[in-house]
Amino acid sequence: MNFLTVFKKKYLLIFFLLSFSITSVLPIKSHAEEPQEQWEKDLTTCVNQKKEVSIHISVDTSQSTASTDPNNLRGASAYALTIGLQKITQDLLQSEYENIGMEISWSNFSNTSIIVLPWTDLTKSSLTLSNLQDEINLVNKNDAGTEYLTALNTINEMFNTKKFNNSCEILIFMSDGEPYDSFPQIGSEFENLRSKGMFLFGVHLGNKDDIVYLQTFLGESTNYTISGTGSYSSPSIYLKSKVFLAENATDLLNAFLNVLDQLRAASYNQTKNVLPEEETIICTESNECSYEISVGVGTQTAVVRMTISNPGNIGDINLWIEPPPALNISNNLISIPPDGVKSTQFGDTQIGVEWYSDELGEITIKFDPDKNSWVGSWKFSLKSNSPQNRNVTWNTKLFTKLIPKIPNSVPLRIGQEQCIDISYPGEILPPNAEVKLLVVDPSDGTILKSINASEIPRGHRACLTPDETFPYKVKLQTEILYEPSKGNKEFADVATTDVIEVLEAPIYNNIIGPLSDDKQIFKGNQNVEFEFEFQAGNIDSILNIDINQLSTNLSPTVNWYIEYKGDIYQLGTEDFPIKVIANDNEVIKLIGDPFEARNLDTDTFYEINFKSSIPSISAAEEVKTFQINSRFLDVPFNTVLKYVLIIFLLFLLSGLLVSNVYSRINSGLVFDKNLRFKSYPFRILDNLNIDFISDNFYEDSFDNTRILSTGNKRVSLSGSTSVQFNQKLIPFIQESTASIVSKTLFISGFNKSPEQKMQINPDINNLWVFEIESSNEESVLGNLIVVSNNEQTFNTIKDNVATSIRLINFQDLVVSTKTKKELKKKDFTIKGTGKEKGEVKTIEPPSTTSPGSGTPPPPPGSGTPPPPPGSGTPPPPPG
Amino acid sequence: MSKTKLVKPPIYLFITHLVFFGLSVLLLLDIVGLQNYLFISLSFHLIAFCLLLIFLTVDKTLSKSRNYSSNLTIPLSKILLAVYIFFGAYLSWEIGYEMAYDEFLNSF
Repeated sequence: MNFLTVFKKKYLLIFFLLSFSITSVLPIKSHAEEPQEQWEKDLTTCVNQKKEVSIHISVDTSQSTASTDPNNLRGASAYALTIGLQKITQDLLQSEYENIGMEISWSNFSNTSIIVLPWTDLTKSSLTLSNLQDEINLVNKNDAGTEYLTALNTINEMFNTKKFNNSCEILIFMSDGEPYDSFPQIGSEFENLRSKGMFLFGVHLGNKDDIVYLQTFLGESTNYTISGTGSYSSPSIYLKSKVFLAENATDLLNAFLNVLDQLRAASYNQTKNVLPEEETIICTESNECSYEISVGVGTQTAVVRMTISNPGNIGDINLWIEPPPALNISNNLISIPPDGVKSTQFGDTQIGVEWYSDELGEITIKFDPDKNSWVGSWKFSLKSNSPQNRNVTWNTKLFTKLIPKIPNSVPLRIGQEQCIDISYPGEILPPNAEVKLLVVDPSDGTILKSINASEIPRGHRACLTPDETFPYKVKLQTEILYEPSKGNKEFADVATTDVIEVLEAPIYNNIIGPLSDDKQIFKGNQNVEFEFEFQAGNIDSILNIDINQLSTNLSPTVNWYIEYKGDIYQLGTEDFPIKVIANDNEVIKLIGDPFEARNLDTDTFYEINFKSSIPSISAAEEVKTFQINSRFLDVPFNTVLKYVLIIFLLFLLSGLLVSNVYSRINSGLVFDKNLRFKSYPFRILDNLNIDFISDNFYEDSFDNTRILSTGNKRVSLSGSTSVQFNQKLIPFIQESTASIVSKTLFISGFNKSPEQKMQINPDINNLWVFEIESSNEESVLGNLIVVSNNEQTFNTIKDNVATSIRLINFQDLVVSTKTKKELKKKDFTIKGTGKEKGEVKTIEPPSTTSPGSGTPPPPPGSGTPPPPPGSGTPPPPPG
Repeated sequence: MSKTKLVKPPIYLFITHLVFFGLSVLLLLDIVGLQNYLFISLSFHLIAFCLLLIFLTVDKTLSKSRNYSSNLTIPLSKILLAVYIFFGAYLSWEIGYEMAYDEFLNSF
């Protein structure tokens, strides 16, 4: 059923005639500059706290309403409020806002009162015009008198049975005249409702002078004493009351919608911004008759109410909406048909148009807060093919909520400038905004400082430098006054930081040093160390260090390192910078590692730069420079040479000593085991033949020899002759030798002239000694000592002796004996011959065929064949 | 007929000084990470050197025997003697430098 048709024929001409004269007292005339009324503040606070609202509409259906509401707008008003709240409630369910529970009920009254619509939870309801039609008809009745007490009974009953226990209670009480029943009793009942904290909204329809009844009963005014059945004056002002005057039915609808607007603002926690009322004509499609509003950042909803002069929208008026070009809406969408549109999408906005009566329609535009294409000028116009000189009054309310953002936590430090960026949804700056950043003492909320913010491309920026007057903890918050629409200033939401601790003023790193003023010496390749006392500041920082050589000498290249907290960092590498923890106290070691040792006559100076910076404050570096002194010295070469020679000589001498000692202990004569020998006494007479006194050597055999008593170092051959090993100083180089040593002269295979000492080979396996005991001019007495290790050697000696004796000049032997030894004046006796001593003869060399005593010597090679080399006993062990 | 038993310096002595020489070289290279390796290396080398000299001493004595028989170890040892002296000189240089360096450091 078309809503318009219900009311089309029922309007009151008188309300139209009076409409312009009374608009000044209606709330819809208010504009942004007007301060918010107390009931509005209280309602917003209550809704935000309790999140539940119980609304009861009590409608006067007395006979008088037939004249005051000929078009039955009471039902339309109740319907409009109910449907509007249902939409708000259910929108909230799907939005990011907190849900607001709302329940609504209707009742009517005349001389009786009935419940028209029981409590209905609007979050779950699906009320429509059609399914509310019976209820609308019940509140559009007009019969009997006006008795408030019956209505109040019903009202009490309803609020006692509401479903939301802890809800904001709102009574909308509509009446058009003076009640018939007891004024004091009515006043008492309303006072009872006041005592419950109920919001009391009265709508007086009709004669404006009669508004005082409701104003007095509801406590909005104490200026009057109303009289009727008894008299009553309000004992006090009740701030949660508001009485709207509706001199016509359209005003009645507006009054209900005002309540709706306030509940909308409270539910969305938005600021209601009322634009100045404007009036335009209704024109034809080809003409221009637009109403224009400017919508800026922060606007979330715009409600544009259209009140058309008589005869209203009789189904011939199209609404034209021209949004900002950025929305890019096609032309076929901008014309809304006369019966409105439930909801349509206009780019980043959602638009609904509803006509509550022929005279009153409402455009609701919801803007996407995260977009900005809708920011700009919106034009609305009503066009008809037959305008009939109709006017339209435009009343717009902008529901704004600009939510700026600032960081939750900002590091604040005394003396350190800090800038805080304030941003906005969609990164669009609010137009003509006056943006301030307030420094608030969180303990009492006092504003310590206000800083004007300046525009930056994506918001505003405010910079502050905390000083000593700042308390230990502060909070920052925004204060933004902006223009959601042209000419209207609104405060944005307040963005606050967490409570911020104001840190003490920054203390930079302090470095003292070098701790020792002494010159450090690079000793050879050895490192040097310079120590610095490092006191970190009260903020985490970074430390860079570089070092430069100041002296221009031949100092070798040095690798420099820093030891900090046990870690090593090499200068000039990516080891730097060092991260320094606040309030650290350490000793920093600067370590120099030279590439090579060097001896220099001059000092080498270096300059070391400690560069501290605090990244959290700025990249600026604080540089502290120190000069250090060093000298490069190396080991003198002569000292090195001295030690090297000592060690090397010790090395050589040790080897020499060991070998020498070893030789002294173990080296000796070389002979086979069981070496044999035999001594053959002989004499040589004038005939120079050897006359063996006992056994004839030449006729003797190896078997007749005896075992020689041997020693490693010395072997005694007779009482006067021995063989001794000669100890060598450098036995590993010098040839081993032995000596035949005798007290008398001797001849051996090694010497042909008589000697008392003769150096021989230490191998004594084949040895004969012709020992001369005594001699005179006539004879020579001696012993032939033969040493051999086997028979072959023995025979070989026979040949050697025979050969050697032939070569001996015995005359010389005698002379030599006399001169060298004088034969110790010893006379000798020639055994077996009986000749006198003192006869000197030349000794003939023995011959194998020579005559002589005994058997002549056998020819060489006679006798048993010599043993093969190596036969006989094995040689003694080495050494 | 008995066989001739040849006389020669003991081979174990030759091998022993080679072993010590090898150990000395390894210690010089510090492959086992010993501290004071130079002194240990020199000590081992001194042992090797002494053993070599003893070996040569023995050889000098035995060489006079008629049954003496020379083999490869003899000429090799004479070459090694020069090597040992050079190596000993090198170790002496290293250790001598260190000792001189110590004296240099202690003089400050």
